[in-house]
Amino acid sequence: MAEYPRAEHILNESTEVPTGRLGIWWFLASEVVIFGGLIATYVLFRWQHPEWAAEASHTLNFAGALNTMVLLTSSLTVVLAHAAITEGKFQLAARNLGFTLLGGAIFMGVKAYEYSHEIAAGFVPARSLFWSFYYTMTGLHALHVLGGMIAIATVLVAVRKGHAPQRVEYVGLYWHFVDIVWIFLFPLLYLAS
Amino acid sequence: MTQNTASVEHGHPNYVAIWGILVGALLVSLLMGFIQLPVVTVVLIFSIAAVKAYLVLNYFMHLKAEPFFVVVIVVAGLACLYFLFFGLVPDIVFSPDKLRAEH
Amino acid sequence: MSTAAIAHPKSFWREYVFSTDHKTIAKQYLSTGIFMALVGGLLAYVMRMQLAYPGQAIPGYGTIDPQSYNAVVTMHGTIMIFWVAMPILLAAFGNFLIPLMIGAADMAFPRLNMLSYWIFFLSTVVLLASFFVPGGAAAGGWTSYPPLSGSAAYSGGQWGVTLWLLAVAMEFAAFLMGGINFITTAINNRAPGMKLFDMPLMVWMQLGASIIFLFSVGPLIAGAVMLILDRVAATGFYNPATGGDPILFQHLFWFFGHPEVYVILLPGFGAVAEVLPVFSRKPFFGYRMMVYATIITGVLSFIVWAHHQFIAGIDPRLATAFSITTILISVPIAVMTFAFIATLYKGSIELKTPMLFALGTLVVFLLGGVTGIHLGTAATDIYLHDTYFVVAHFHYTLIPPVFFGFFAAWYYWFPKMFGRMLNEGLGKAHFWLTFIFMHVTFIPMFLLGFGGHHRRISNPQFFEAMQGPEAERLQIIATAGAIGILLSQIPFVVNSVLSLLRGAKAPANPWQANTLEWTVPSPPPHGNFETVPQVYRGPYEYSVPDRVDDWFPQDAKV
Repeated sequence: MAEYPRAEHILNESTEVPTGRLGIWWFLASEVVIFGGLIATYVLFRWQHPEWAAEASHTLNFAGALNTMVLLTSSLTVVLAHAAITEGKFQLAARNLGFTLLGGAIFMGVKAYEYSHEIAAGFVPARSLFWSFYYTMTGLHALHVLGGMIAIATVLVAVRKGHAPQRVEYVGLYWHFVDIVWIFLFPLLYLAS
Repeated sequence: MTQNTASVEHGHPNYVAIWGILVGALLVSLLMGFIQLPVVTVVLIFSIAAVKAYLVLNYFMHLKAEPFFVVVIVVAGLACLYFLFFGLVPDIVFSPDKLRAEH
Repeated sequence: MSTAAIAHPKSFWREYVFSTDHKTIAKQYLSTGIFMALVGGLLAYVMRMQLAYPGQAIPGYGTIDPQSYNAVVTMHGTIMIFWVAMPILLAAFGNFLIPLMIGAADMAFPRLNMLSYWIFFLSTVVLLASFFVPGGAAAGGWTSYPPLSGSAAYSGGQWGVTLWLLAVAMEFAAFLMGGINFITTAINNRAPGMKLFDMPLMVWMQLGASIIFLFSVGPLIAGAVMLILDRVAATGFYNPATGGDPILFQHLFWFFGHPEVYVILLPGFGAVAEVLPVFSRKPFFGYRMMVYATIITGVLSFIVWAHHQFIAGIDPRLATAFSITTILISVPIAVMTFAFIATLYKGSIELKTPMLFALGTLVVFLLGGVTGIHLGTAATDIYLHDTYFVVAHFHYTLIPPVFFGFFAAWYYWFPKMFGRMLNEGLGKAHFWLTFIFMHVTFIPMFLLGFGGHHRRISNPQFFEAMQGPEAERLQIIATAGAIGILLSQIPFVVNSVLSLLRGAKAPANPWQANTLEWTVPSPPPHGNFETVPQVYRGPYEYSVPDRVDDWFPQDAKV
């Protein structure tokens, strides 16, 4: 891993993992159990209710697939931003962060299209337990995408001015996590019908 | 740390190639939908999802290059979920009330 | 970098209100926690008066209707666990002690630390505000089980439970931030020379508690989101009519709720572990064993949760499995208790106030732990469940860490926190009064529970089985005890206020202890350490042979 200038207040680091990155890993661990608790509960109900397959066939597979594609690509751009910053190329990193931000925006747009389409067709959260889960899980995930976009935008501004190189990696880790959650949500809610 | 630093200096993993594999895996899991074997499809689709998650974790998040205890942090969260899942199975999936309600 | 750059805060606001200094944040958490303890204590007073003299006007409150009584019970539990135990034990002492004990200038993420406190403060405001909304505060019990909490029709008010859920969610967010901070700091910011097994046990316990909290709270956050949606978006996660399952919430709640017991217990035990060696002038007995026992407790705490649900309709096969794991967890806890007792063995024991409270923690917790066997075993729990036996049991297990552990820590670290010594006589009076009234309050509850007295009943006279002169007498004794506990805190308040104003100035190391926080002035300046300390040995090297002093600070070279 690349070495960055240390955060100012850190006097020493007892392990080889920089403090900021270690904090992000612990943060992600706490997110794993939040999403994991929800996913575990959903899987159990799904197991008990094979008939949910009929409901799941009303999700828009092409939109879900497109969004998977978009998130995977934005994961690529954010890791390219990280690669650029380790080589000191701040502007290249900023451009890649911009692409990631664009990916997030497309994802949210597609999500908005899906929601409005489904709600118009009468598939509202209160319709059945499947749809309750669908909206809770994708909604919580979309909030994380939104949060990630805000974080990336903040870092983007700093990086353009040549500040805070290590933060590119931190928002990147978070963004990859959001991507991984979607990698599981997609087959759970869309494909398994 | 020396080994990791070296890998960064002499070029990181080929991110675009890994992205290519991820997109390929996505296409494969979409094609799975046409196979008419329910159990096989489900197993395959989730195996592909696990492979995708593994690739993102190891190459995009560089978990591979982290010391072992960082891997433990991630695995510990999954272990807790494992306990939760199996504690819930009898009550949600095999609950006698549920069986009664179904018949 | 030197400490100079962080040593000069800019204004009153940055120094005392929006401070990033871990010591100031610790005091903010501490004062919020003590204020909430007062609120929780007054709620207990209302509740106990109603139980002893049902239907009569309570001095200072008036008569209480069943709905308000339920709200009082709910809020007493919620406040004491989430707004007293957690902020005081975990946030206040964790914040104050972790950087000082490991030789760091501050927490790893000071601004995150400040954010954590202010989110917690906001959650406190939301919780207190819920008393004044239409329909009153949440009244579904501190566990907030659906269907009682799932619909306004059952719990009396639309706003109370929703605000309760919001406040608890914010509180969890605050403690997740704090926890990540604690863990990262303890792992990464130790002074040179301090290996993991050179960390004082208090740091280990805070680390353990933070990790347990972080891994257990997630499913409940998911569960709370689902409950909020059930209330406001008409989903049916917990509603059997729509295919949902109310027991699911119980599982998610206790998957967090039982580890939470250890989140509270461990920091309390950490304080005891620091106090015992200092006042016995002996090394801690089995330091590594204690650490391993903490880890094993942490792991086991994740597989015992369903013992709270034996009569909730869970699968009986599960009940057996969870009985076994529950009894199993008493093994590492017993290891800890024996390590404490063995530390005392043949020591030169000084019964100063912190030591009294530390010993009190052990004695009271032993009773609580032993009565836990009855409740952890499904066969006996089926009889005792939801009786006053349960109430007595969990007060016997939670009061030791939350109050006795806190007071041990308070009397021990007060000189370090505020630079003044406390009065010993008032401290001892505080201990003995609290200790005696604690038993006066809760031993009658064990008896009531054996008699089948149901808890969460607003008026015992409503039920024939709960009437009778014996039961009435026990209720009155318990109420007298509870008022006694409240009044016993007067010496504590007087002592603290007087000592803050004109107590004797505290030296850097009044107890002649080894750990790093005693090497800096009392109270420690911004940035804590003038130079980064170098650590040479473990924290508990007392009475080392061939040494003049009977203590051996961690950073002393020879």
